[in-house]
Amino acid sequence: MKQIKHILYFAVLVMATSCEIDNYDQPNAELYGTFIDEGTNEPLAQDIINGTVIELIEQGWVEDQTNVTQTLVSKGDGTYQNSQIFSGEYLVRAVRGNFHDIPPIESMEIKGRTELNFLVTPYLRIIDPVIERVGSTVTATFRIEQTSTQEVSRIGLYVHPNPNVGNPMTLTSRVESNINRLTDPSETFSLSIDLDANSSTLLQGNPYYFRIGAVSSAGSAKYNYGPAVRFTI
Amino acid sequence: MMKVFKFINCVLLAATVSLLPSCTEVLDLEPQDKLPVEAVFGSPAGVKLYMANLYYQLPTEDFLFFNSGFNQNQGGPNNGGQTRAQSTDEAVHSEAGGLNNGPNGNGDNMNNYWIAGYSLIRDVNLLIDAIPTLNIPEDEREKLSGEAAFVRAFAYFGIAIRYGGLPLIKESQEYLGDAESLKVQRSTEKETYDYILSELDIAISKLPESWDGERRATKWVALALKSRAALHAASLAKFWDKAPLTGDAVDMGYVGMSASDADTYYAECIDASAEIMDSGVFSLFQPTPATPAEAAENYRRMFQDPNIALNEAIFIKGHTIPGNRRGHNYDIWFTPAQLANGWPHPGRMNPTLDLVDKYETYTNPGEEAPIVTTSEGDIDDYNGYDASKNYLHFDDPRTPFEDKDARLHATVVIPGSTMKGEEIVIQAGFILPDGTPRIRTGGSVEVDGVTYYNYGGPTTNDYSGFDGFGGNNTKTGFSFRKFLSDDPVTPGWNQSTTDWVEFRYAEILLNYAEAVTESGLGDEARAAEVMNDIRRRAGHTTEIPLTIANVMRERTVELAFENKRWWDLIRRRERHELFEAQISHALQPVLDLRVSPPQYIFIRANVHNMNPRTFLIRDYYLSIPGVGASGVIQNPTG
Repeated sequence: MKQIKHILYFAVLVMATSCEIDNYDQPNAELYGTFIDEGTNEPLAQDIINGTVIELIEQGWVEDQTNVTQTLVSKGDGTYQNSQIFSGEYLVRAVRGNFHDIPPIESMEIKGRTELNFLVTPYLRIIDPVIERVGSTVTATFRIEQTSTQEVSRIGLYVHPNPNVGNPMTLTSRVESNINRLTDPSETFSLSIDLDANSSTLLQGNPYYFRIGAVSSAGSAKYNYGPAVRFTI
Repeated sequence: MMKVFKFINCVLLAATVSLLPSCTEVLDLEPQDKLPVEAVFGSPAGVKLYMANLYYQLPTEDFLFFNSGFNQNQGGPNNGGQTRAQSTDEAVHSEAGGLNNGPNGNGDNMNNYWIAGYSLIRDVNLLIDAIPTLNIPEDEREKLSGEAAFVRAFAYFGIAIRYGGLPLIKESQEYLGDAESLKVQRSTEKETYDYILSELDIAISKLPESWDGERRATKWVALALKSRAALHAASLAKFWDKAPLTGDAVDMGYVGMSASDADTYYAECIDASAEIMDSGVFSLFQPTPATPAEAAENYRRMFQDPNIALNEAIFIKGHTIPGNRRGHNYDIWFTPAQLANGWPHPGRMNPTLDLVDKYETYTNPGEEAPIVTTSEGDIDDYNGYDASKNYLHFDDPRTPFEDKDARLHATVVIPGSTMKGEEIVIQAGFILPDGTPRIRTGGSVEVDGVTYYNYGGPTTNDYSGFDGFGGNNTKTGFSFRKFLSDDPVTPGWNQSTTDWVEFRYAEILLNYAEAVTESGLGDEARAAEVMNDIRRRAGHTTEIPLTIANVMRERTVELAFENKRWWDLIRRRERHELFEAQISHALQPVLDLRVSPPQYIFIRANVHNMNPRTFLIRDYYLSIPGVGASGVIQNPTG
């Protein structure tokens, strides 16, 4: 009888220990922030389905492990947030954006709510954008500021019911122009959408967002945008 | 103290008890789920069985290739009838609002060939290990080695076109308790294609020219795969910079090809294609038809039963018996609704107007021939019916297509054409005598004592277009004909036994023509000749010059729905240009009741309820599953 009791004690001991072993803390830190255009101090908008990627590599987790990159993708308005991160030291780098490459942050501590803003230089800036409707035509006029000597590849005018309107999200056949040259900030560009020619997708009486975009010829550059303008057609 | 001893005693006892059973060899059983190597490879029949399994696993994008993956003929494979063609500009699906199968390289879908591909490579590596030990004549050993090299090259090609540079596992790995030793990092994309081509060279040198009627890899099949793979690699090299990427995998060369290598690969494609062309073994099926109608019927029959065209078919994947894991489902998914024969889900494949426009006419050779529907002649207005336009009127809905390339009629069911003896009715609506359009609404109207139905007939069995009922009707104005059997549909799963041609001579000729045109290498006169030979077979008698536009249009129409278009757009880096908020187009045949007798007008329109489709540059390479465990550097998936 006593022996059985001992065996039971033993079992309890074994079982109690096993409860501890794989209980890691859940992710308890958050990283958030904004990509800010260093020239205008405004958040840098971008495509929602093709946003800048932030790569996080936790330091000292596994030695010589090459492939522990976590990624998070920023939102259309240039902000980003991940609230499910383990506290610790991280290498942080923002890649594949619509701005000139920035150096990685070799090591930073992410703990609690950690804010990290990136000051970046967009490849292109849309200056003095005006989008207006005259009769059945919506016309956008704007100028382009280049921040490098790389050519402007394409410009476009996009329309969609969603404020994240842009090159991959538009309801007309291409309203774009291939530029493929250097541009001067004093040069005015103009693009227009004929509403009648798109009457099956742009329904009269409905509100739509219109937006100007431009993309640089720099390798793997993504689109830069002006503000989305909403009006009812 | 005594208590402690008792306790220790007790623990020891427990430990001893738990250890005791291991002394009786109870765990030393032969595993019940595996066979020893000798049992499989010990007899020629065993090897043959094993080979059959390897062939089954080949990444052939055939009648069993659906959005949910390869070999979809098990049980009731309810994948919706969604195919690769519907993710290109060839067709749309009658229910889905725009398929766009790009990014997902994980899970059960057509893009994920990582795990299945490496399973095949493991299986073939085991065979390669065993070949030297087999008790078979030397010449058979040689042929078997050639087959193994072919299978391995095909598997690596299937993975490489999806993921880029690969870990090259060249011999079978054995797990001896140390997982680290099994990890292999990727090779560069170039090294991967070089390895595939070198494996094919081994296969070409060892394989026989024929297997006496057996459907196994011959020297010609290996050359055909080499022609295809070299063209793929050459195109990647030439066009990679059109869609540049950044990231670790790019820095290491795991993805990325260099334009300076393009000509080497084009030359390999030209040489492999020319060897097949020079062999005299193959030719085009029925190369000189007397009329376009005869050309259309030849072309249609060739796909309905490739065994009548063994001079053109280089490699056939056969379906002999209907049933689970044997037959396929093209007939039940894609037959026009009127011919469903009781099957509840026909009509899924809706060829687009964009594809139909591409086919040449006989009077204007060498040009795309968009269907003109108004006297104004504008073909870019897809906004639907516009009362202010002067639509052309036709007594017979087939008239606008009369002069079109024979292959259109053998590939696509146009409105009013005949299939299996039945007129296929495809009608989107009518214009009422007072001028009111009634399009895609259903219902009927009586004019001068005659009842006209919106979709062309009173019940859902009487027409095949535009009714949303069951997703059974085409919403593009065109239904599907290529590959489909002449016999009535058997309304059940896996009942079709049409054979699939994985490689045919026309593809080799087109590979040759493209490689010559893109590189300037090879024989331009011969390239022009073979391209025009294919057109001659389609009833064209006027030759057209060798330009890349002509070669690619010819390739698109000749190989339509053979699951080549997707890879053509990928390897030539055209998919992201074509698929920027892309919408496919429909042609709506509408009965104009304002004239008597009523006549047809046609309306070019956006496909109803279609979501714009965008393909992102990063999706040229899929994300690799399981990198956390394998240590493989991931593709630039961001």
